[in-house]
Amino acid sequence: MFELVRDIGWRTVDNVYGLGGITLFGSRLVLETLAPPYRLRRVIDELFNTGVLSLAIVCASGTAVGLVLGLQGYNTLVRFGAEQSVGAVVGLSLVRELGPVLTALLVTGRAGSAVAAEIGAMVATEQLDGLRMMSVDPIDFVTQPKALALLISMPLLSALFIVFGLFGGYLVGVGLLGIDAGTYVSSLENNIDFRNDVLGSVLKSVVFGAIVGLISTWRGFTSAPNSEGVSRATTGAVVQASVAVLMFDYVITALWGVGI
Amino acid sequence: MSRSPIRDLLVGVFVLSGLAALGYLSIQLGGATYSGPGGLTLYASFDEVGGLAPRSPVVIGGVKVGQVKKIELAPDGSFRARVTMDVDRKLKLPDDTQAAVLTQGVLGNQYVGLQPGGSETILTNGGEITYTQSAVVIERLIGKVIQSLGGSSSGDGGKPAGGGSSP
Amino acid sequence: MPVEMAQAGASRSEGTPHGQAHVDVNSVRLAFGDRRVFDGLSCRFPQAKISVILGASGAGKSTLLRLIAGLQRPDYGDVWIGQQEISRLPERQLRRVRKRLGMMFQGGALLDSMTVFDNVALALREHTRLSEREITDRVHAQFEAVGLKRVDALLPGQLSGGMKKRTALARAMVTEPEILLIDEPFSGLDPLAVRLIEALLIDVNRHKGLTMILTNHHIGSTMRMADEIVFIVDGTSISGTVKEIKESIDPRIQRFLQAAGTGPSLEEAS
Repeated sequence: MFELVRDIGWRTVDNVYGLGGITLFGSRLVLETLAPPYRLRRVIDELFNTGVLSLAIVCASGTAVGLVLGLQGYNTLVRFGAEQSVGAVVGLSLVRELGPVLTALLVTGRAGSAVAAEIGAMVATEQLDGLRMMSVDPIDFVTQPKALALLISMPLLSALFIVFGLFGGYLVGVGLLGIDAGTYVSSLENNIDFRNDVLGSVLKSVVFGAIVGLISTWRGFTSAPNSEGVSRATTGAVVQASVAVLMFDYVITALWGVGI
Repeated sequence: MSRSPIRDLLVGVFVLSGLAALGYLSIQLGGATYSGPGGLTLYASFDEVGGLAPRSPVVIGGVKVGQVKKIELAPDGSFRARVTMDVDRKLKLPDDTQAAVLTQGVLGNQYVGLQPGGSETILTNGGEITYTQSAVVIERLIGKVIQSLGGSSSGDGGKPAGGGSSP
Repeated sequence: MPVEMAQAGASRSEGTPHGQAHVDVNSVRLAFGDRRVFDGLSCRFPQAKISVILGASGAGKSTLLRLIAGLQRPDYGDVWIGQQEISRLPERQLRRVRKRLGMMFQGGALLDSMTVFDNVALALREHTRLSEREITDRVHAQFEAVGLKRVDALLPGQLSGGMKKRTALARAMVTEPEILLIDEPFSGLDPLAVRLIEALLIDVNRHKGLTMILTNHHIGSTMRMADEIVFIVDGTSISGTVKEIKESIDPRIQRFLQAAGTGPSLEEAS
């Protein structure tokens, strides 16, 4: 019994240490991003790794989700005779929630894990120490471009996910279920508002990008310098980032709906 | 240190298409914001504005000509709602123009529809539209229908039949 | 660059019997959890000489090197590089001290996402305002000095073990450091490559007068190269020249040397 209490206590303290650690790391990241040198070359390279290489999965998934939404939406709305609103249902679901959240989860799995693994491998092979010995700050040189690339990629990928989703909904609704194309599009356009919906969606994806960028780089950076450590860092990054995204999704949705 | 120009090109394509998608979502879909010329401020007071909100469109004959800027209680103590609108300054609206708070479709957003009159005097900047028609509030409408039916026992007379959207 | 010794107290001696001390480790204690690594270890590394940190695997050779590099902080004690105590410096100032150091890591520790050329040029690009032309010249000069040909566009993953070590050496040297720290230069090399790298290091030391500190578990090359040996055992160190160590009556040293025998290197799993 005492063991259990001591264990819980120790874990709590450990988590607080971790929280402090990630906060310090995060502020270092922000500082290094804002301060020169800006390392544009490396940011572009990282954008390729996180953004371009995620395009395939994001667009494919977006279309798939759009197809399903169209189908499910239609099946439900037709019971109320409101199948003309399929466009609105598909659009609003994608823009408000599914776009930012699903994109974030997909990107976490694909790019977040890769970033954590890369950085973890660099720790294990002493590459970061090598940088330190050359008087180069590894957070500035390695971590910052990767985190920044994740931050920038997220809203772009999210928007693409949504657009492909809308297209998927169009395919099902107009192509398969016989809704008039004009109705679909106008239902879409008339019910999505910039301030309430699109802006919130972009805000979410930016926040998610920051979360994934921070957590994956931090997990990689603090991984134990061996292959087991790297693998734990990678899976840990995916799990923690995913959970954080979902939690922040609620927070932002609640605040955005209430405020402004 | 450029690894390959192809990669850079792809990054460029990625960023541009992402921005284009964002642009499409913001402007095409979200475009409840009236982005045309403005400059002519008009006022109108209503008993009831319903769901009308700032940035709601101002429409003539189905064409957006401006947007609602502000909604507040009328300062003259009449407890009416005073709506401030910003419309295209090139409009020449007669001073007997009517302003009504209407709803897009059945369940849609509310907007201000202007019906121009025939008077010779033209509204200038800061002018007041005096003929106004308030928003229809569903609950009150239902209430009225129930009342006028004189309270049938099951009280279902005023409610529209299920399925489909309420009027 | 000659380094003046500080005239501080008695604990900072004026030099080893074998030359002016460039690096001074003072009464250092370090433990990882329950495992004690160093228990009051003191040693000095003379300037412009090749010093080898010798010992069984797990004795703490690499850890001592990392202490000198500032990558590890002791629980107790000081580490001096010239006049500068480095074990308590904040990272920012440590970065400045490191400009006088060069380090060669065991696996090379080259950035595997960058070409060999970019790896070696990195420090120059980051810290100097040299033109690309001058940087290219310097990098190529280093390649020549370490015996690398036509490697510019290769990635570290495409290099052999020996080539990686040479590249790492070139990278460490290109900034013209005062002190070179080398972690296990001969690990994973065949006997011929060992001799080649050995000759290279001795050459560098003679020509540039660099202070070199190596960790090594390879007895043969140690005996051939070292001006000073720092033998790590039981959390402390015993220093001496090759002759002194060979003739040492300390039973632990004798055991270590005997285990090595006169044969090939003592390759312990580490």
